[in-house]
Amino acid sequence: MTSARSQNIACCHGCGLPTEVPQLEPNYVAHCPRCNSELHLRVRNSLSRTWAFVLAAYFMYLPANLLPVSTIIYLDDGQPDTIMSGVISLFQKGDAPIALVLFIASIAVPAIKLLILTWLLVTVKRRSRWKPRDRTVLYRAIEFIGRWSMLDVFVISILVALVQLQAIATVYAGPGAVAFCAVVVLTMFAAETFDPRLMWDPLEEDS
Amino acid sequence: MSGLVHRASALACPSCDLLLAQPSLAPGEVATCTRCGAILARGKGDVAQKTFAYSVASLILLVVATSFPFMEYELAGRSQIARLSTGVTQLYADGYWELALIVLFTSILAPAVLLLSLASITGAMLLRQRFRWMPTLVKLATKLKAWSMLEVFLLAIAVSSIKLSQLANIAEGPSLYAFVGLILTSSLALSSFEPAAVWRYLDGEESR
Repeated sequence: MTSARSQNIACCHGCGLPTEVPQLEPNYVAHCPRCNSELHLRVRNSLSRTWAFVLAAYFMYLPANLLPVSTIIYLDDGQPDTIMSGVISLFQKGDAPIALVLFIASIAVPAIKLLILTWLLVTVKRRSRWKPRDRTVLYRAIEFIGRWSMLDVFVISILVALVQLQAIATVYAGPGAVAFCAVVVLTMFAAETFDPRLMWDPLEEDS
Repeated sequence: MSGLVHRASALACPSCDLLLAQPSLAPGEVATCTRCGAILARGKGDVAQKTFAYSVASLILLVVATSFPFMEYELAGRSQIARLSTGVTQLYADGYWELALIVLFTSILAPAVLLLSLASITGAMLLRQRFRWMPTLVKLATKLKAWSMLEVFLLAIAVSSIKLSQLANIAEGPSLYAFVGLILTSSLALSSFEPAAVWRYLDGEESR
């Protein structure tokens, strides 16, 4: 089993073409002969950039869950809802399946995604050799499900669009929605900059 | 740029960097990495013709979906009509420009640019042309794929109708049907497209 890196072959991140890159001098950058993207053996500064996105997402996670995301005013009556209180009130009204969908997409997925990314970053930093295949599958899974967290943002935008009957019923967005949207976008960026090949590099050194 | 040796016959796994030989696949066949199990390539047959048909159909449906009312909400004899873009304009008017921007990008702009790119790349392939903008558009389409969230938006429509059904009557507008069709054709366009096939075509190989 040889990796492309051990042969000094960089896979272009634009078009996937494997190209041999010479031992580079500083300030010299190789470009893909096919699509002209810059060539790197690994995503540049993958760990520190991913850490930056992950920490920023943790920071936004608190206001996202504590501040109100929307307010439904019906006949001059209504109070601001946070993500959790919205889920709970849906559950109490008997819409358990929808409450569950919203709970998974808005609360469980962002939290699990952040925890898994943090754990993957730590294992790479410690040059762990533990089950790289399982960790890679886990990474691909969180990369895939991340987009579904946007569900609540879209629901808010649809409610705000539909319910604008001034005297009777109106829906407003809340500041928590901005923070929540930031969490989703930041974790998507984090998953994009994390380079799963780093999890396999320590194994090369053994052989 | 020149002088670099590339190996079009090789393939490195994007997930674990294992160096493998480029597989040649019959339609329907899937190549997976022997070390980490990642899907490396899919045999897709005639990429250009299928993707072109599905993406042009999607573009037409996208125009329909954005130009007509989407849903109607009725309460106590008063009703309100929403278009696909009403959420964006209303959020912007309420001062939440960040949300308006993200919703506009993920539910309208990214899908539109993605489908336009697919249609123009595969259209050029059908005309047997090689334009200078084609590599840029293939890279753009690959990037935009993660940010085009039409199917998440469809789930959001379902969730909000259930949320509102206790409060008022919800009626679907003509755009909703176009939107459901759009989900279908755009996912077919994406699954029949294969960037590797475009790169092989641009390298000068015949696409069949």
